[in-house]
Amino acid sequence: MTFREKTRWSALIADLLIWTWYFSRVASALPEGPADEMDFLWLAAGATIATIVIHVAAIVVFALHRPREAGAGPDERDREIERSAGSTAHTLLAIGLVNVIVGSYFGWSKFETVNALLAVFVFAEMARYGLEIFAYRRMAA
Amino acid sequence: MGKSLNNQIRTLRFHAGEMTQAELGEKIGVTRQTVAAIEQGKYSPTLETAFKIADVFEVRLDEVFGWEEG
Repeated sequence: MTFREKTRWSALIADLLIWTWYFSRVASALPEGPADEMDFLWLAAGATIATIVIHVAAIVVFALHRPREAGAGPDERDREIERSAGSTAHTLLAIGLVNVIVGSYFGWSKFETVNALLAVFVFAEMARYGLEIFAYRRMAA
Repeated sequence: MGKSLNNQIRTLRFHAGEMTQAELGEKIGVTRQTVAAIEQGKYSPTLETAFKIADVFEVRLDEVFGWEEG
Protein backbone atom coordinates (compact mmCIF):
# COMPACT_ATOMS: atom_id res chain seq x y z
CA MET A 1 0.00 0.00 0.00
CA THR A 2 1.45 3.37 -1.01
CA PHE A 3 1.94 6.31 1.33
CA ARG A 4 -0.89 8.16 -0.43
CA GLU A 5 -3.34 5.30 -0.15
CA LYS A 6 -2.61 5.00 3.58
CA THR A 7 -3.31 8.71 4.08
CA ARG A 8 -6.66 8.29 2.27
CA TRP A 9 -7.63 5.36 4.49
CA SER A 10 -6.80 7.29 7.66
CA ALA A 11 -8.65 10.39 6.43
CA LEU A 12 -11.75 8.38 5.48
CA ILE A 13 -11.86 6.51 8.80
CA ALA A 14 -11.28 9.71 10.81
CA ASP A 15 -13.99 11.57 8.87
CA LEU A 16 -16.43 8.68 9.23
CA LEU A 17 -15.96 8.43 13.00
CA ILE A 18 -15.90 12.15 13.80
CA TRP A 19 -18.64 13.32 11.48
CA THR A 20 -20.95 10.34 12.18
CA TRP A 21 -20.70 11.31 15.84
CA TYR A 22 -21.38 14.99 15.06
CA PHE A 23 -24.35 14.39 12.74
CA SER A 24 -25.88 11.85 15.12
CA ARG A 25 -25.88 14.67 17.71
CA VAL A 26 -27.53 16.99 15.16
CA ALA A 27 -30.12 14.33 14.23
CA SER A 28 -31.03 13.75 17.88
CA ALA A 29 -31.37 17.52 18.47
CA LEU A 30 -33.71 18.16 15.52
CA PRO A 31 -36.94 16.61 16.96
CA GLU A 32 -36.46 18.55 20.20
CA GLY A 33 -37.22 21.89 18.57
CA PRO A 34 -34.82 24.80 18.07
CA ALA A 35 -31.28 23.73 18.98
CA ASP A 36 -28.73 25.86 20.79
CA GLU A 37 -26.86 27.04 17.71
CA MET A 38 -23.79 28.20 19.65
CA ASP A 39 -23.41 24.75 21.21
CA PHE A 40 -23.43 23.15 17.79
CA LEU A 41 -21.12 25.80 16.36
CA TRP A 42 -18.52 24.84 18.97
CA LEU A 43 -19.22 21.16 18.35
CA ALA A 44 -18.67 21.62 14.61
CA ALA A 45 -15.51 23.64 15.23
CA GLY A 46 -14.22 20.92 17.56
CA ALA A 47 -15.02 18.21 15.00
CA THR A 48 -13.23 20.19 12.27
CA ILE A 49 -10.14 20.70 14.42
CA ALA A 50 -10.12 17.02 15.46
CA THR A 51 -10.37 16.02 11.78
CA ILE A 52 -7.43 18.25 10.81
CA VAL A 53 -5.30 17.07 13.75
CA ILE A 54 -5.91 13.39 12.93
CA HIS A 55 -5.25 13.94 9.20
CA VAL A 56 -1.95 15.73 9.94
CA ALA A 57 -0.89 13.21 12.61
CA ALA A 58 -1.55 10.30 10.24
CA ILE A 59 0.45 11.97 7.46
CA VAL A 60 3.37 12.56 9.83
CA VAL A 61 3.32 8.94 11.08
CA PHE A 62 3.13 7.50 7.55
CA ALA A 63 5.83 9.92 6.34
CA LEU A 64 8.15 8.76 9.13
CA HIS A 65 7.74 5.17 7.90
CA ARG A 66 8.13 6.07 4.20
CA PRO A 67 10.13 9.33 4.13
CA ARG A 68 11.31 8.97 0.51
CA GLU A 69 7.84 8.23 -0.86
CA ALA A 70 6.30 11.02 1.20
CA GLY A 71 8.88 13.52 -0.02
CA ALA A 72 8.62 12.46 -3.66
CA GLY A 73 5.14 13.83 -4.18
CA PRO A 74 2.42 12.19 -6.26
CA ASP A 75 3.36 10.27 -9.38
CA GLU A 76 1.27 10.21 -12.57
CA ARG A 77 -1.01 7.39 -11.35
CA ASP A 78 -1.67 9.26 -8.08
CA ARG A 79 -2.51 12.42 -10.03
CA GLU A 80 -4.85 10.51 -12.35
CA ILE A 81 -6.62 8.90 -9.38
CA GLU A 82 -6.91 12.28 -7.60
CA ARG A 83 -8.24 13.99 -10.74
CA SER A 84 -10.84 11.30 -11.42
CA ALA A 85 -12.07 11.05 -7.80
CA GLY A 86 -12.03 14.85 -7.44
CA SER A 87 -14.17 15.25 -10.53
CA THR A 88 -16.86 12.85 -9.23
CA ALA A 89 -16.74 14.40 -5.74
CA HIS A 90 -17.15 17.84 -7.31
CA THR A 91 -20.30 16.66 -9.11
CA LEU A 92 -21.69 15.22 -5.84
CA LEU A 93 -20.88 18.50 -4.10
CA ALA A 94 -22.74 20.49 -6.77
CA ILE A 95 -25.81 18.21 -6.57
CA GLY A 96 -25.78 18.46 -2.77
CA LEU A 97 -25.52 22.25 -2.85
CA VAL A 98 -28.48 22.52 -5.23
CA ASN A 99 -30.51 20.34 -2.85
CA VAL A 100 -29.59 22.56 0.11
CA ILE A 101 -30.55 25.69 -1.84
CA VAL A 102 -33.93 24.13 -2.70
CA GLY A 103 -34.40 22.96 0.90
CA SER A 104 -33.62 26.38 2.36
CA TYR A 105 -36.03 27.96 -0.12
CA PHE A 106 -38.80 25.69 1.17
CA GLY A 107 -38.43 26.74 4.78
CA TRP A 108 -35.46 24.97 6.35
CA SER A 109 -34.27 26.69 9.51
CA LYS A 110 -30.83 28.31 9.68
CA PHE A 111 -29.66 25.38 11.85
CA GLU A 112 -30.88 22.81 9.32
CA THR A 113 -29.43 24.69 6.35
CA VAL A 114 -25.99 25.15 7.90
CA ASN A 115 -25.79 21.50 8.96
CA ALA A 116 -27.04 20.31 5.57
CA LEU A 117 -24.28 22.39 3.93
CA LEU A 118 -21.73 20.88 6.29
CA ALA A 119 -23.05 17.38 5.56
CA VAL A 120 -22.73 17.99 1.81
CA PHE A 121 -19.09 19.12 2.16
CA VAL A 122 -18.21 16.21 4.45
CA PHE A 123 -19.98 13.66 2.23
CA ALA A 124 -18.25 14.97 -0.91
CA GLU A 125 -14.88 14.76 0.82
CA MET A 126 -15.52 11.22 2.07
CA ALA A 127 -16.71 10.22 -1.40
CA ARG A 128 -13.43 11.56 -2.81
CA TYR A 129 -11.37 9.51 -0.33
CA GLY A 130 -13.51 6.44 -0.96
CA LEU A 131 -13.18 6.71 -4.73
CA GLU A 132 -9.42 7.19 -4.46
CA ILE A 133 -9.13 4.08 -2.25
CA PHE A 134 -11.32 2.11 -4.68
CA ALA A 135 -9.06 3.12 -7.59
CA TYR A 136 -5.89 2.21 -5.64
CA ARG A 137 -7.35 -1.20 -4.68
CA ARG A 138 -8.53 -1.87 -8.26
CA MET A 139 -5.01 -1.28 -9.57
CA ALA A 140 -3.27 -3.05 -6.70
CA ALA A 141 -1.14 -6.09 -7.39
CA MET B 1 -12.73 -9.44 -27.78
CA GLY B 2 -11.29 -5.96 -28.41
CA LYS B 3 -7.69 -4.95 -28.53
CA SER B 4 -5.80 -4.08 -25.39
CA LEU B 5 -2.43 -2.77 -24.33
CA ASN B 6 0.09 -5.40 -23.28
CA ASN B 7 3.72 -5.08 -22.30
CA GLN B 8 7.00 -6.94 -21.95
CA ILE B 9 8.23 -5.12 -18.84
CA ARG B 10 8.57 -8.27 -16.73
CA THR B 11 10.74 -9.92 -19.41
CA LEU B 12 12.79 -6.77 -19.92
CA ARG B 13 13.40 -6.48 -16.19
CA PHE B 14 14.56 -10.10 -16.12
CA HIS B 15 17.02 -9.46 -18.97
CA ALA B 16 18.26 -6.35 -17.17
CA GLY B 17 19.69 -8.45 -14.33
CA GLU B 18 16.37 -8.97 -12.49
CA MET B 19 15.87 -5.24 -12.09
CA THR B 20 13.25 -4.76 -9.37
CA GLN B 21 10.01 -2.85 -9.84
CA ALA B 22 11.25 -0.35 -7.26
CA GLU B 23 14.49 0.23 -9.21
CA LEU B 24 12.59 0.74 -12.45
CA GLY B 25 10.15 3.04 -10.66
CA GLU B 26 13.01 5.13 -9.32
CA LYS B 27 14.53 5.49 -12.79
CA ILE B 28 11.26 6.68 -14.38
CA GLY B 29 9.90 8.68 -11.41
CA VAL B 30 6.96 6.57 -10.26
CA THR B 31 6.30 4.31 -7.26
CA ARG B 32 6.88 0.55 -7.20
CA GLN B 33 3.10 0.10 -7.04
CA THR B 34 2.65 2.10 -10.24
CA VAL B 35 5.23 -0.06 -12.04
CA ALA B 36 3.38 -3.16 -10.77
CA ALA B 37 0.06 -1.76 -12.03
CA ILE B 38 1.56 -0.97 -15.47
CA GLU B 39 3.18 -4.41 -15.67
CA GLN B 40 -0.11 -6.16 -14.92
CA GLY B 41 -2.04 -4.02 -17.39
CA LYS B 42 -4.13 -2.42 -14.65
CA TYR B 43 -2.87 1.08 -15.40
CA SER B 44 -1.92 2.57 -18.78
CA PRO B 45 1.05 4.92 -18.42
CA THR B 46 1.35 8.30 -20.08
CA LEU B 47 3.26 8.44 -23.35
CA GLU B 48 6.13 10.18 -21.55
CA THR B 49 6.46 7.37 -19.00
CA ALA B 50 6.16 4.75 -21.73
CA PHE B 51 9.12 6.37 -23.54
CA LYS B 52 11.06 6.56 -20.26
CA ILE B 53 10.56 2.80 -19.73
CA ALA B 54 11.77 2.04 -23.25
CA ASP B 55 14.74 4.34 -22.63
CA VAL B 56 15.72 2.51 -19.43
CA PHE B 57 15.87 -0.83 -21.28
CA GLU B 58 17.38 0.80 -24.41
CA VAL B 59 14.71 -0.65 -26.70
CA ARG B 60 12.07 0.81 -29.02
CA LEU B 61 8.66 1.68 -27.61
CA ASP B 62 6.98 -1.12 -29.60
CA GLU B 63 9.33 -3.63 -28.00
CA VAL B 64 7.89 -2.70 -24.61
CA PHE B 65 4.24 -2.11 -25.41
CA GLY B 66 1.94 -3.85 -27.87
CA TRP B 67 -1.61 -3.31 -29.02
CA GLU B 68 -3.12 -6.76 -29.57
CA GLU B 69 -6.28 -8.82 -29.25
CA GLY B 70 -7.01 -9.26 -25.54
